[in-house]
Amino acid sequence: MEYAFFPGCLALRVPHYELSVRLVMKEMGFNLKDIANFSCCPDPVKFKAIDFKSWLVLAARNLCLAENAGLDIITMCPGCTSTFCEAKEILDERRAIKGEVNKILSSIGLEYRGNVKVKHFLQVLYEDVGVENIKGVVEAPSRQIRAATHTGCHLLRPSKTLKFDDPLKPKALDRLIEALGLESVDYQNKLLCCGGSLRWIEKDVTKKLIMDKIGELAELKAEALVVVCPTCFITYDIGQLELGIQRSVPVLFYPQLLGIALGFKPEKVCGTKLHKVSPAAIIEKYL
Amino acid sequence: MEEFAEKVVLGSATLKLLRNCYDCGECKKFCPVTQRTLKFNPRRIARIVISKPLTQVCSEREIWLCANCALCDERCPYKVPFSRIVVVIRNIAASKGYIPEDFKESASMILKTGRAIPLTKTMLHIRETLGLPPPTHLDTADINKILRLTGLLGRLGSGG
Repeated sequence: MEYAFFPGCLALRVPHYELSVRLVMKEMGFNLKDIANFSCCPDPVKFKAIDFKSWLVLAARNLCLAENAGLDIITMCPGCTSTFCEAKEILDERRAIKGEVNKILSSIGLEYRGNVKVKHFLQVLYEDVGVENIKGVVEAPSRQIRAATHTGCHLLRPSKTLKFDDPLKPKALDRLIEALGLESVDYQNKLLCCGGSLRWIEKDVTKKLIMDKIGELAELKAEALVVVCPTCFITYDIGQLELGIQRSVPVLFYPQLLGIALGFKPEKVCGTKLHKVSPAAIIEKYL
Repeated sequence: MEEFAEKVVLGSATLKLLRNCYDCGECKKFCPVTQRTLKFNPRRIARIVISKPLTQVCSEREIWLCANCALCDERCPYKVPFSRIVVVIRNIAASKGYIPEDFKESASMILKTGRAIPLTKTMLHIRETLGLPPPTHLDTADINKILRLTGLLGRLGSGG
């Protein structure tokens, strides 16, 4: 099955994440095609706040490019997913708004028709591949590992728009790490936002958010924090280093773990040098 | 002139939902930001914008401190889409020139390069080392053209 791959701008900051997504999705039978001229989705936090019309038009433009290629989109960033889902919701439900947007797009020879579907790869793995099929193709680790999941915010909420998993009791990522033989740690701060969007404007809040999350996980002796978002990764990974947190918890992307379970060498899928909090120990245990 | 965000987000259905606010405080109870700073209070903002024009709060720094986690939307027993309302208020604020520097820089980057962050030589080198293809070609001419039509340039002012 062929899909348009939309890595998003932040993939440039976490190339090891992008690599792991490309490798595991190919292994699972998804042909990810690169599309020329994809721009920023655009970002659902800062750009959308400044100019909603520009945000909607740029989102529609990206959707048109995929539509013209005849492909649905697979993303790896919840921010991009959120932008596309919300943009589609507006364009598909409000004919007049779609008209306004298409009028602007016509100046560059594009027209949004609404035929493109967008899914984050986590959604594809959970809904289209399924936990049982993943269990069937991976090798479970020899030792019990306790990992905590952080699905983040933009992939889940508002649920009316994202339509994935449970917005207040997410379980998809938990089932998916369990499929790899890991134990999912239950914890109080599971829904806690990483605070990535506040990192520059109100850094004290982000600091507290990181410390509360990592603090609880360290207390519970979680051996890793599993994420599916570049912003969450950067916030928790660099964040722990910047805050000088002693009892640190390594942050890993789900496809890195899936990649190893599928037989890829850790050096191949992990780019562990790109982690500020080294996951070397946990990966060693996981092999 | 009606702000585009207002027209889209607060289309008839959503405006009605805003008026459902019962001042129950669920949004405040679960908000990760308000739990950690006195500088942000979603309940307070909601109560203001229900009875007063949205412009009432647009000059306040507080409106930029929402973390966009949308827990309030999900928790609100009356289905007030507070996270969407924050977007509308921010758009109105931006139209009047109230934009935090960090947000302005990010938007300017997208206007100039089509990407939210700059593409550096280091990034290209690391990608090559990992065996990743270079980022797809991005011709910004079309993006520039449509962003002139949407009026982003004017909104960003001298920073654009």
